[in-house]
Amino acid sequence: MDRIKNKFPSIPEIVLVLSTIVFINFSWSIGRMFWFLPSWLYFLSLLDIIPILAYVLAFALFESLLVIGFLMFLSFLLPPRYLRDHFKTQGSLMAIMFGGTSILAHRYLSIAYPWSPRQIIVYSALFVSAVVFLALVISYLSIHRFARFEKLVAGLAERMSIFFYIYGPLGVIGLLVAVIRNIF
Amino acid sequence: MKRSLSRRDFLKLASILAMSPLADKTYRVLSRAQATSQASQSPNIIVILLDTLSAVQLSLYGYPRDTSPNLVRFAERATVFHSHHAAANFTTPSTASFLTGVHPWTHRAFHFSGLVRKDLQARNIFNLIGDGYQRTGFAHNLLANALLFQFNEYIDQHIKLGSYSLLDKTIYDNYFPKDALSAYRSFDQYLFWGDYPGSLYFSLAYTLGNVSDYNAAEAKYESAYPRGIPGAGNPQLAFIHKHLFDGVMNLLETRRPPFFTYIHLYPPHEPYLPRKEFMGIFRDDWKPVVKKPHYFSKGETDKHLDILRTRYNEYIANADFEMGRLLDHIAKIGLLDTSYVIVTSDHGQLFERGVHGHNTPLLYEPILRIPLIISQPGQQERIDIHANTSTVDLMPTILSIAGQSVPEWCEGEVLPGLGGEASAQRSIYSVEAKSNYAYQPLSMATFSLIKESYKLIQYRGYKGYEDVSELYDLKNDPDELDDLSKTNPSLVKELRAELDAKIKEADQPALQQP
Repeated sequence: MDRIKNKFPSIPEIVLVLSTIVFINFSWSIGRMFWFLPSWLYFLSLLDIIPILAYVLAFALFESLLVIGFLMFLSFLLPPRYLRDHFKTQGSLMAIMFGGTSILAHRYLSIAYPWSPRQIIVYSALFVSAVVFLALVISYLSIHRFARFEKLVAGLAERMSIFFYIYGPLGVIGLLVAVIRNIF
Repeated sequence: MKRSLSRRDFLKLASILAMSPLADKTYRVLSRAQATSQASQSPNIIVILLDTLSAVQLSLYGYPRDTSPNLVRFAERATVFHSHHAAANFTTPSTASFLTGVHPWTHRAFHFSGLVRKDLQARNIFNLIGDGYQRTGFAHNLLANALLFQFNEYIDQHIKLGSYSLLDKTIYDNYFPKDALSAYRSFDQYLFWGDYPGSLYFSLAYTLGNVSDYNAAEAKYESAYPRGIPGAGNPQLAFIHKHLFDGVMNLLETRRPPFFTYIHLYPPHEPYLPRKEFMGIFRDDWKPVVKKPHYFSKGETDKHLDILRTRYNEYIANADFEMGRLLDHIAKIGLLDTSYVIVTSDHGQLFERGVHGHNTPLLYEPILRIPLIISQPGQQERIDIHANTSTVDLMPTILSIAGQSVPEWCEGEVLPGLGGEASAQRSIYSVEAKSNYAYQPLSMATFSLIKESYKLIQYRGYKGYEDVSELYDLKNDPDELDDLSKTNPSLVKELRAELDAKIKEADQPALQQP
């Protein structure tokens, strides 16, 4: 049991990485929502918009948990020195890189439209593997080679934790609202 | 005064109390049986609405290309309305007007995926026709389906949007039926939609999954659909016509009489992706009247508009073929003898003045004039009605057919030929008002008012085209080429005054947000 437990990072480190992920996901989702908000205000009342916000927050929380779950899984799979030992900084850096890559992927997603189903599966799998591998290598090298950079990322991750305490409960409230609306 | 109950009185009271739930139940069963008995004498009502079908481009109404031979055949035993007009230029407001019997400025659903004012939402056809009818709604269009969800509690069977599609991947309809409208806006219109959706990671997987499934379906049906398979506005709703219309046939077969079934079908809405047999069937020398680009022109050249029009015509012919199959099936299963079959559209499509489509401030006839063909039970002769009629007339007509009274607040009239009277003085209104707040007076909008043979088009609040009126004589100038507003200012003034009064009246309740 302890052997398995030791393969995972400590809870404070997980929380700090989750803070970074939550910050990226929630900021993106809420920011994009503000982009849509003016058009919604043409015909929706505040009471109509609150449930939409609830779904958005709940989904951002869901996505955040999946990303941290994936990073924890990687940490479990890899030898400790590649991720677990510097999970706070490496994990945060990888989360930032995942977010940035995803935004870029959205921009160029239309490239995939003419592809056959087989090509989509193969190329997507290759792309995701490459992104994960590169993120891992870049984060490993930059954190291990540049102590100042590691300090900078650690500071950043710690400052992000405040957002976790804001966005996290909002996500949970959103989830509750979504669940209640779909039960009753 | 006797203060306590005797044993005998107690037993009497107890028996009465014990009977009361039973009595209540018996009363309900009897009432229901009475309603059912009345309803069993009522005719079925089938509404088939083809999205974006302009009457101007149907051979049924004199278009030179033979786009609608099956509708012509159906019309031989039906009532054909020649001057039927949509209440608005796109699905949401026009469908809402159909289902509520009031104009867009009253129900205020004039935005993409807008909804009827909450304080008016109980005033819909499904509710008013009563539960003596089995009420079914199927909208193969996201915007119309949102309206059906708004009226969901009054619909006995709301058929899912993608039920008869090859792909059925909308999120709100499949996973959140209890909170569909919020989920629709959250997931299908925001989190998983657009170039930069609200979801950072899952939207990528969702989009790629949809693209993959769509491409697989396209490859499978490539020989039948060389231009690609249609998608009901979204690739995740890709469909082929045969499945869609076969699904509707099965749906009608399983209705319990008397029933009211509202079917809103996506074809011939763009993109124009007909089956192979209909491609190139209109390679002819026919050219429509050329019209000068409008102020609101989107820069489409006449040559390109001709290509698009021809493709639209091919697609109409494809939809008409399927309609022929559907109507034949309705006849085969005996529903033509017991049902009112209403075939109509929500709005038309424009291919002129530098504009293609219906998302435009322009309200010319190709966008507003829509088909309306109604077959009455057992009708054998064709009847032609030339009076001006509107989308808002369908709800009162359906209520009248169903033996229900038409509410006072209804802004439509029972159609002539179906219990109503034709009135030359009748005013027919249409509106385009997307750029307005739903709960504020209309400030930037286009209005159309048709009275007798004259049509006033009024543009309000558009920068650079503010307060402009156009007047046409539809009888002598059906192509709306000769603007009479300069030569007949008194008529413009008269119609304008009527329109102003109507809008002022309609804007009053809009000031109070529900």
